[in-house]
Amino acid sequence: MKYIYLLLISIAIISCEKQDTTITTNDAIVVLAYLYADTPIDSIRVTKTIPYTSEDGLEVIDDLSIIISTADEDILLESIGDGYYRNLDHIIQQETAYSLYFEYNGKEISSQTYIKSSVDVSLSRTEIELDKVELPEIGQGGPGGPGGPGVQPDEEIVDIIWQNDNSDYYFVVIENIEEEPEYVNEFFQQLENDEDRPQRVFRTEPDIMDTYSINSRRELQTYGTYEIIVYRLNTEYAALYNTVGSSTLSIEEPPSNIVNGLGIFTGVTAHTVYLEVNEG
Amino acid sequence: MLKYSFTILLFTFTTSLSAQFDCHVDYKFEDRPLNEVFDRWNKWCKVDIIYDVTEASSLKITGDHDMLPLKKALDFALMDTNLAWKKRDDKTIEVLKKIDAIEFIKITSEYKNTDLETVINIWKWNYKLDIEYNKEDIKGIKIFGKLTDEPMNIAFEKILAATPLEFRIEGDKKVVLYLPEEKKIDLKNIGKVSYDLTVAGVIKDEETGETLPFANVMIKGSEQGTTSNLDGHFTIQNVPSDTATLILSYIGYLGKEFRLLPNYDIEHLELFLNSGSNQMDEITVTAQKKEQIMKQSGISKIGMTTEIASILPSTGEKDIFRSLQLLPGVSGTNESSSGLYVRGGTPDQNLILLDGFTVYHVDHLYGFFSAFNSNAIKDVQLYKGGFESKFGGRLSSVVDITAKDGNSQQFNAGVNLSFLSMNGFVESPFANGKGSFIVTARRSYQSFLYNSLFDSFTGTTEETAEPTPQRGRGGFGQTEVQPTSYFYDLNAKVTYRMSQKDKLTFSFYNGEDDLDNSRIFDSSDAGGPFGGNTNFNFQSDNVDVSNWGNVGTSLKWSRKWSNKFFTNTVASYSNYFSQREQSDITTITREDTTFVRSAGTYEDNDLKDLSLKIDNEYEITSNNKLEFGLQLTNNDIAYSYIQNDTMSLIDRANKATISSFYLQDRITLFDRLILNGGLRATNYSITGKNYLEPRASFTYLLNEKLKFKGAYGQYNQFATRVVREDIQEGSRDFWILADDEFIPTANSTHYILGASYDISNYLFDVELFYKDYGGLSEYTTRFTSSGFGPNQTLNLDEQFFTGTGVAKGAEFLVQKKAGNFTGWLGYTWSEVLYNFPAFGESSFYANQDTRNEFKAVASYRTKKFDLSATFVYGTGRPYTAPVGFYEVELLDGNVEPYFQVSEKNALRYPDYHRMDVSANYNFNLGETKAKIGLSVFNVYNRNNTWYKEYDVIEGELLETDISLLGITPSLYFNWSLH
Repeated sequence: MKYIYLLLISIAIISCEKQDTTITTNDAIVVLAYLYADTPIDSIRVTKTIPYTSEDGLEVIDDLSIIISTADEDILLESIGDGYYRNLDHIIQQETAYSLYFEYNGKEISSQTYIKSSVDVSLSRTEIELDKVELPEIGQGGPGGPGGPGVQPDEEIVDIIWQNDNSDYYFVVIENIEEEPEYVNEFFQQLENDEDRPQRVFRTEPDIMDTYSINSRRELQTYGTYEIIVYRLNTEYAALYNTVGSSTLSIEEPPSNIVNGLGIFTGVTAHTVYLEVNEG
Repeated sequence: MLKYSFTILLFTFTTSLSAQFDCHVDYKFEDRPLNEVFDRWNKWCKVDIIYDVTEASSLKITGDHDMLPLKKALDFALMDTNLAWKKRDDKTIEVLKKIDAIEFIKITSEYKNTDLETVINIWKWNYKLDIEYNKEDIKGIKIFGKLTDEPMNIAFEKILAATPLEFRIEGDKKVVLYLPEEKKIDLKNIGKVSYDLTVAGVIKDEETGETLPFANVMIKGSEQGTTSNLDGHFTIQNVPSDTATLILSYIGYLGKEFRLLPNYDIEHLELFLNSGSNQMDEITVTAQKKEQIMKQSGISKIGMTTEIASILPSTGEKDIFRSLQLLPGVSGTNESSSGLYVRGGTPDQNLILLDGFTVYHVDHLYGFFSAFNSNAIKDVQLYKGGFESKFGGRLSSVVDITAKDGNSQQFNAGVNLSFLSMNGFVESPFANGKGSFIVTARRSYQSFLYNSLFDSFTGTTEETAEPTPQRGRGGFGQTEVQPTSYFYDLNAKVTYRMSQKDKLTFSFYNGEDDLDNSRIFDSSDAGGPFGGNTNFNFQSDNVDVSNWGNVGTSLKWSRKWSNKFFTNTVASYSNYFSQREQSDITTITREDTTFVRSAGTYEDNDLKDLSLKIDNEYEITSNNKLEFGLQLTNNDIAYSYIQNDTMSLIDRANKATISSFYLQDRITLFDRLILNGGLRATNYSITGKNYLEPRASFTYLLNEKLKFKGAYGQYNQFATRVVREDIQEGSRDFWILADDEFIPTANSTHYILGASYDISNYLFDVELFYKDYGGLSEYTTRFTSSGFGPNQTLNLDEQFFTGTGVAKGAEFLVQKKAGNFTGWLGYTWSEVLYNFPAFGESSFYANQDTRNEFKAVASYRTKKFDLSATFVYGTGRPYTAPVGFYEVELLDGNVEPYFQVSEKNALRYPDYHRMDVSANYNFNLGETKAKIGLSVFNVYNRNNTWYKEYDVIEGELLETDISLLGITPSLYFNWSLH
């Protein structure tokens, strides 16, 4: 019997061990900086991460001495409040390397990026005609709904084409720039609530590609002028975009090209073309 | 204790009653004096029940049974009285006071080479017994052994077990020792009783003829014994005489004593044990002890039969791996994995052997069930650590599964139906019983229960599954689909006994899970507002298909060269495959031209294992067993991850040959100390290095009840499974081979110390373990940029972090082994700390670290009913969580949250606990057997956290607990011919 007592005592002793599970919260610096080629620097923001337990919301950091540099010059950014910084005098140059540098609480925060050259983008046609889809008469079946991915006749195919010899990442934005465009499908036109209608802006995911075929049934739902912007991206953006993980099974620190901080400092080059969509 | 002794008394005599005692008697009485009842039965059955009239007339009985066998009626009548009955001769039954019977005298004593005559004289004097014997018959017989609180009749059985003598009890106090006539003849011929014999044979299931591996064979009255090998063969040397009694036992079976006789062919015995499952027609509850369904034997070794899985609660699928998870030292809180986390190890650190071939993936339905069909399994041995040299290639544990050979006595078939699957088997002998085969097959169907489990893993709704939303695209116009998913497995085994010395076994296994979440759109099928051009067809196939599983087969030749030398040669092939295709294929047909565009990802992991094993056992003496063997394994592992049909992000292919030789020796010293030492030497072709793994263990029997044990061993692992948690996409784990460049060869050292205290109905066991790990790997893929400027490229890089670890803990087991009510309490304290320099200087708790685990398993069994309940409690497992977040406005206008994460595994989920209950009813359908059962999983509907999800809504970080399965009842029905 004494063995049983020994066993029970051992269990009791071992069971009483205290467990510590402490975590440290560290509100790190977050830099969000896009440098658009051929435009001034006006899209840089510096904040802190929002601690899980915080009730104060986003904490921005103003009045930092942020310097953007090229091989030839240092560009000091102006703090304009709410964590934003800009320098409207400097136009971002293509095919140029840029670096970012500032100090905060004794830490040196820095990063580098490169502005790629824009590419020539062309359309397989700049103008197409789409037949209006009329509402069916009562008794002939239900109204035409959103349907599937779309069935498009040969003459309605539009390809966006560019060169991508370097296997760079691109994404495409297709947007009708008319103020109040008319819908190809009368079903959508007659809807009162704008939220029930198809989106007017379509964006692809960043991918290595040199062509994009517009699905007119899905991406050209309205008549008028479309602005098509092809963005040429850096890999740091594609890496951040591809990082998803919101559960404790797969969560990990997202990639960042900011030294001693989080976020992104990246260059973007864009090329814009236009497409006319007319009623057939 | 009195009751227990009485039970033994009943057993002893009821088993040998003649036909008169099987006569059935009426048992409908109300307050009827016992003497009247006895008189009535005397007349009816033509027997003579002798009793004390005064005593019997003072007792009255009441009963309402139609007809009972006389022996059962006597049991009922004398229940709860101070009377017992026993057979005096073929027609006479004696009813007497329990206190007067010789069987109620208890003896506790120890004899060391004591003359039998001396023992008899002591007993005559101390217990006032009249012992009659012939001095010539007992001359020279020595007694060695210990009696502890044994009834006198059992004491006589024990001391005479290894002698040619038999005994009978006459009246209350007289015992007659005698030499049976046939033995007198033998003794005359031989001159004296034969000593130092070798007894060999095979142990089989009485009903099916299945050979029983790991069955215990002991010589009655001594500590000497052995265990049957994988083919059920056993050999015991130095058996004291050819009239000794063997005690046979096997988990889940009724124990049996077998007395040798000189005319037996003692080197080719065929001994049978009964599982007790086919005795439903007998009303008498047999007093014979049934071996427990879970048996701790040796160091960190536990044996189980699939019977345990059929008794314990389940979710409709009896699952032997889930039963193993109820043992101390094996984590029971990983509900989402049927893999075994043994003493801080991970499932890939377990060597899973099925009929000699390695099974690399053990999960069905995202891990909710194991891949092993219980109908196909005969025996499972779990080595939790410190395992011997004949096993290698894994760091933590070994699960050695032996499949059924098939019924070698008669044709049998059966079906199991549950809300999850249909399961059937067919087995039969052939070639006049020289051969047998069994085929078992199981397939799931998408019942409400299946869908409920499936949805809990995939997060889909019952009705529809939304296609994976794509950021920035709005998902407009996409079709909704119902995902299809199923699993199946098939086991087949053919056994052919070519001779008494040779047996061939062919075993095959195939198990697979399939998931199809594809969508197809075809314009020719489409109506709606966009129909039209007949010369044009547009088809969009969104393919989302995963399948994963195993194929394994082995061919085994078992050769018994002699009673002392066995060889098993196994050639095996095992293939683990996991494929996933997620792609969009657009086909546009215009006139006679077809354009095909495809985009997506393709993952393919294929592991092939071709092995040859030769295992030899040589019984040098009864106290010395040598085992040695050779194992050659050729691994061919390929893993590819392709994007857009052509771009290979990861392409990995490795081949390796692992050549091992082992030698181990088991020596018993002084009948008390068992030493097992061994060495395993392995050459691994990729690193070109030789790995030496010394191993040793001891068991010291302090006395019959208390033993101390310990083990030490070094282990290496060359193939590692990379775990990628992707719950919505099925198994995305893959196997890779160590190269000592990116992936180190993993190693571990085990230290185990323990003790166990074993009394007749209870076992108390404690083991302390300490494991040192080296060369651990953690894997991740990350998008990383290389180069700078115009030539910058993005790569999906595989990153292997390497580190070390320590797992330590203590396990406690209290088991109620025998009786209708059995079960165990298990408690494990453990700690698993990893140290990976890539994650910081300090150590962190591993994912599988669970500080305290408590388990309770109880089952109550009667002839018709099995009732059982299990309870599991475990400290919450550690996890890594966001400590903060930030939002990034992407170039497409979406705002995405990104998380700043805590230190590795700095937090813990809430504690896990759960109770399951089940009830089975066994009955006959005509001549066939049937069982219907109800099981309720998570009976009090505990919300155990599986993982947490985080989202940012309006600038606030929201945490959602994703729970494991809630209360889940399931009903099942089993039927078989026999």
